[in-house]
Amino acid sequence: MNKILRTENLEKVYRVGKIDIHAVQGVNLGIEKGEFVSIVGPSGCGKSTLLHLMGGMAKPTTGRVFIEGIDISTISDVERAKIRREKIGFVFQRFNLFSALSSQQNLEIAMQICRNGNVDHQRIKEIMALVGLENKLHHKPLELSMGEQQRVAIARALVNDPLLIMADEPTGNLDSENSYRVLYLLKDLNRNLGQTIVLITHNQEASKIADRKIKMKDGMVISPS
Amino acid sequence: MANLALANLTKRKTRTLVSILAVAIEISLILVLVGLTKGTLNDVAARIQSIGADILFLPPGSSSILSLNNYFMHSNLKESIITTEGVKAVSPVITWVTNKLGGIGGNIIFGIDPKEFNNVGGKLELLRGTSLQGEYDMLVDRRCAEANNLHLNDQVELLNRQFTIVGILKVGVGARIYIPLTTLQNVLNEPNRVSLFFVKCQSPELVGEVASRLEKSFPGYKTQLSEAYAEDLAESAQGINQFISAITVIAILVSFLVILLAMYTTIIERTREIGILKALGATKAYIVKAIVTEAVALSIIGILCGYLLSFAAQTWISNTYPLITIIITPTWIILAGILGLVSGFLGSLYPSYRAARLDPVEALNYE
Repeated sequence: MNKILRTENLEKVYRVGKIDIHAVQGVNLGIEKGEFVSIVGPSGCGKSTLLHLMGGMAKPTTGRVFIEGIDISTISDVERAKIRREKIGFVFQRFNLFSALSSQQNLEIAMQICRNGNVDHQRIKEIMALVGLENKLHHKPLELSMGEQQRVAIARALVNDPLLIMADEPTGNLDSENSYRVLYLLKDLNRNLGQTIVLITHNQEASKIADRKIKMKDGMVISPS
Repeated sequence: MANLALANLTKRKTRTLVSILAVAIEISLILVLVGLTKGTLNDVAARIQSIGADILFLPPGSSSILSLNNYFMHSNLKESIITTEGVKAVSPVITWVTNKLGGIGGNIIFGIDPKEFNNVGGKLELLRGTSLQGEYDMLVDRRCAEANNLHLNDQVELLNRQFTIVGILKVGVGARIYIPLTTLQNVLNEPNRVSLFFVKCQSPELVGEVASRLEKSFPGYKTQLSEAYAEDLAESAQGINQFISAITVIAILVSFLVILLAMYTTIIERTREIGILKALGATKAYIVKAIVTEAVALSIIGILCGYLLSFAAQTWISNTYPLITIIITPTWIILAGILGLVSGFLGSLYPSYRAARLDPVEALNYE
């Protein structure tokens, strides 16, 4: 199978005062194109740190991360930013939308960053329709429900047609109904568009939506071992 | 990016207003101050030039700024000046500055002999009344009369004497207030003393030669060409120029610091947003550009408000103090605008640099 993301002996150590905290330890995993993988574990087990390392948001202390064969652990900040804008779409627990901008403008910013300032309004409309918010283009985040805000965030992650979407506790701030909608939206994107998705969650129920589950504990992958 | 910058301006209204106000005050401070100085100097220069004399002959140690002079020379020098080759006419003038009847730092009074003053080209065009005849006659120009609500035959107390306004002049030639030469000499207890001589040459081509001859014949005395008076006046007013420079630098500095502080606090407030931009793959250059765009947008609005404030101040000053001339020139409008932009740009550089260097994960987790 075609592994679009691969890690080798990935480690991340944070120094807090005089203590070294091993947030991620010896993680070796691979994600194949079109997969829906969940990484599940209790709070503080290193899931988010692992996602940041895999998404090029942080540099590992040791080990490597390959995205489409490119070792992003050794490249410069500028090159890593390029990988993020061209290959990765992030979805966060707190949505992280620009509160002063409308849904459309939030998507435009992501597009401008990726496409040297060029904006494809038709694509934005299509993506907003895909997440069921075609009538909320001009609404600002605070004019939307929490579930709708997360769907805008998913639309933003999708707008540049990324290689993979990394969702960090996307249902963490949502009620059960909205959580269900968001998870099934991600499932639909995976099933219908072949979108590769990595879902980080502490919720065992939510993790079941993925095709494959990776369990973490104390910074290490415990299952499959 | 422009959307983000503009949206942030409207989102943080107080910060935006304070920043705009700082830039607007910077701009208006520069424009009004320079306008006042230029207006006053130009006004004085224009009035001196409008006399029509070719040369001002001044006593040793005197300044081109007549209102600053406290030097006198003997009036019998006139006989020697008139016999200098190329000189056509000479008019002795004694000057005094009064704090009455308005004007910045006082009003200059010319004590003249109307006939001799007329001979050097000083045509005192009357709107109403007659020229100086009696000992305590006074002429004032229209602006001075309007500013002080003076009319023909009104009495004005000056130097402990009662003067009668016998004529209203169209435009003040040289000064706005005239009284007879001998009267001012006597009142000042300086008989046979004058402050300057206006010299008329036989032809304009001779002006330079005559000035040289006068300087040779009267060592230590100064000659000032009327034609170059405005420039020389500006040069003589170096102190004023230094003062303007100091105020301009302070205005730029204040504006720079306000923008710096505003943008710095913005960066702190918006650390998470910068983290989002980084997660979206924004480069450092993009983030710097976003912050600078916002600061420049603030500055542009501030500059436009500063222009409005300056013109409002100009109108107010002109209406409240009719004798004060304030000139806001296109050159200074552009220059002040550039200074405003530069201070805004520089003020945003450090905050934008800091924003660009933020760690994406730390920025996203910032509370």
